[in-house]
Amino acid sequence: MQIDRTLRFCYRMSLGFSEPVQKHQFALRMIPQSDMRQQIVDCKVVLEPACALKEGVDSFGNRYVYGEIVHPHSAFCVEVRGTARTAGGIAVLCEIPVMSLAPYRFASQYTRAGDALKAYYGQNGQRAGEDDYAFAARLNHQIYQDMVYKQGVTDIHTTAEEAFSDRRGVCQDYAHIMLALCRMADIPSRYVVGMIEGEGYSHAWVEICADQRWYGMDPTNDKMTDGTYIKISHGRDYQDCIVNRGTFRGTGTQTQQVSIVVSEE
Amino acid sequence: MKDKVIPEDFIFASSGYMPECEGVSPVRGVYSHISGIDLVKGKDGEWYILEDNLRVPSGASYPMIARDLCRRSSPKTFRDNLLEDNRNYAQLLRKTMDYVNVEGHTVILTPGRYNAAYFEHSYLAEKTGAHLVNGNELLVENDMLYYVDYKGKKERVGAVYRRISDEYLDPMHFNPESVIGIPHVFDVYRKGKLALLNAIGNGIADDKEIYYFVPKMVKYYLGEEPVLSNAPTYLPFYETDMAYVLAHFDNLVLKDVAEAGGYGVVFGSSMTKAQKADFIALLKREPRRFIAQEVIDFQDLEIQDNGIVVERKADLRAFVLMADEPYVWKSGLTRFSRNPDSFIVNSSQGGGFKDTWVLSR
Amino acid sequence: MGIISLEQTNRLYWLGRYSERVYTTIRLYAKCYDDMLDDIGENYADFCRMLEIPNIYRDKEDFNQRYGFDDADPNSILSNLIRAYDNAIVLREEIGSETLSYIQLAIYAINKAKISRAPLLELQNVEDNILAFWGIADDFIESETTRNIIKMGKRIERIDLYARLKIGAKELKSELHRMHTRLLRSGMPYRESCLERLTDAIEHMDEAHVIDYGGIVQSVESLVLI
Repeated sequence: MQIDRTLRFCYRMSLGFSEPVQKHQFALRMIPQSDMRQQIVDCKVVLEPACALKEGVDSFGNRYVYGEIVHPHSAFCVEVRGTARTAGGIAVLCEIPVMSLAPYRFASQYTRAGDALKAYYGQNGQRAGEDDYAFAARLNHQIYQDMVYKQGVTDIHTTAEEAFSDRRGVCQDYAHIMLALCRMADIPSRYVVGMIEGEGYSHAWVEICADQRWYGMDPTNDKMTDGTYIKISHGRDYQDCIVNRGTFRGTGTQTQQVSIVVSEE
Repeated sequence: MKDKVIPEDFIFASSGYMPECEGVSPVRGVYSHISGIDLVKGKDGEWYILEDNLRVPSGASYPMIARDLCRRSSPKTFRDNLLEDNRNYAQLLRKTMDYVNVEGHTVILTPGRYNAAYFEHSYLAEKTGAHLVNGNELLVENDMLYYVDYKGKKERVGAVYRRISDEYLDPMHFNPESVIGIPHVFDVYRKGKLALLNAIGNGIADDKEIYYFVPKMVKYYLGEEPVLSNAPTYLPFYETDMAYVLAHFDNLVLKDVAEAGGYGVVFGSSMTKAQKADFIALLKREPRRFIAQEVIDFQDLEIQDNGIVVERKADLRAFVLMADEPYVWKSGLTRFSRNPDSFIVNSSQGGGFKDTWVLSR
Repeated sequence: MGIISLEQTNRLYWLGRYSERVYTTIRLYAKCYDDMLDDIGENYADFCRMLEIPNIYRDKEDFNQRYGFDDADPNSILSNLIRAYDNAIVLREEIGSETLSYIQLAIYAINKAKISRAPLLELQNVEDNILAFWGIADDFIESETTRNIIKMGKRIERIDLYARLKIGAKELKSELHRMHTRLLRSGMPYRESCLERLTDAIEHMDEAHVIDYGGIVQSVESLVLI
């Protein structure tokens, strides 16, 4: 692979509890993996309070780490730090047999189309001789044009249909809308969580499968993914890629802070 | 699916489909340890299958209780008639659980005492000698599931008869907001170190749309005609079926595939003209949302209503347990509707139940 | 069987305590009710003082009804019986349906007493059912640990109540011995210091000028670690 960039990343998530909690169990999907367009080197996970970590791979192929902090604590902080060597403009070969692409071909909880999306697809879903890639690229651009980026009007429970009805949302919503449309067009597509150069939060975009390859498309930024993108996980929609899942005993309320720094070496 | 008997999207777009289970095989290959098959007897004398329940079918405890009470209150009936004894359900269930148990205790997992089926959970635990537990009494450590006793000693658990649905089982993999599940239990299950009864992901088979395909599956896999018939069912998804549904609307019952427990069921004949027009518009807009069935004129069953014998609609849930081989419990849950004009027998809708006798030969 | 979780231990213990509380307070209530038939004053006020429950009652009729049968009064006999039931209902596989059914029967009986013009007759049924519950628990429950935990709850509650009611040395001593034997047999973890203080206070009651009933209640309440 031709290295385009060498990016240093630091993904830091901290939780604060108003009252100490205990028996805190967690599963974290925040560790990037190497593939055809990114090599991850020197990746370290640091936890505060420290605890033994175990690793698993879920059925989507995402790596996750999990553990438990038994004793009472009022703060929990994870830091994932490393270097990614990324290539721009390269698609990842799809090694999954066609049958198993099925979960990415049909509507999921967040991407089920209602009247608004169906009507929109009616207007934009005719292909003028375009292949899957060109068609998806056009949708990618169309969504960017027709949506307004606005924070605070949607939340993690908002579906593609809800966000589209209001024409406003954030990257999660843009990605869900893109997925809903691609799947209506029978193009296998998946939700991606990752980091991009400079930004302070995690980012979401999509990958579409065409000609046995996965192509990254980012409707929020009206572009194809390039060397500034570091991918962390993928799934049918937001739900499959939740970064932090946790349960604990305690009555306190939880606050979360995330900071991501990605810079070129 | 490969041979196009069932369209792919009926599986993958089903709300019961769980991609997390791709590549996971349950212990000893058993998926549906306890199945509840709902049957009705038509006025034509034929038995029809109304529904297959392969997730966590409930109700087996009621016939156990009913039999106990009937034998006490009417000993003569049981002296004079040759009836199959149904008081072996607990042993059958125990055998089913033991067959898949991976070296450990057997527990019944309940969402708690305020669940509508709590009586059944605790009764089955008592009768099978299993421990009744809440999610917070179990914990996962080093890819094993443990039950912690009051001295803090950990006892390994090898089988969980779980009476909570898939999405609440493990907040680390499914619904992250579940407080009744066991964090990481799916990791243990996936590695084959724990049996869950029934397996995760059976919701696909429970789907009202898949029901339509069950006779086709029987023919495909066995090359035989099914012994028991389905109620004639139509999927408006198929054009020919849609045409039939529109032409025979008044003779059909329409069921919303997303609903359960007797909800989302409407009869074509009971709608006003305006309601019918609205419903047909909805059906055309969302043909995938509904199935249509012929209304089976089931045989009425005599029941006692405040001491008076009256006739009501009834159905029978047969229980099939799967250990080394399938076994049909020689009894079942007979449910009846409370109101004379109702077809709905679900207890959540006011239905009642009675003892079910299978005559010995 | 054999394995019992912490939560179950806790519930068995409180099942023992509440069943005893209901049993003993019914006997006190019956006496109080009977006394008031002859209209000798407001002796329910003393009753409340002894048991350290707030005297929220308007008059003796109000006391008779609400202390006995008001589920909104947290100190009523009915409320305590409901608590026993709440613990029992989640222990079915541990204690058995039959054992549990006597607590349910007690609930039916107390609800009949509530609407009866002769509540003491119905309350006798509540008592009978609690006695039957203890009997069947003893006879039917296979696990000795389970039986012992229920009985520990019962014994502790009895000392607690007797001390609050300032019952004489003879009864308390006898109850202490029964509890002590059970404690050692049960293998339940307990606080050595509490047992010492308890023994000290009860065994030397005859010599003490001022009997430390408050200390007895305190020690017995924190005796077992649960």
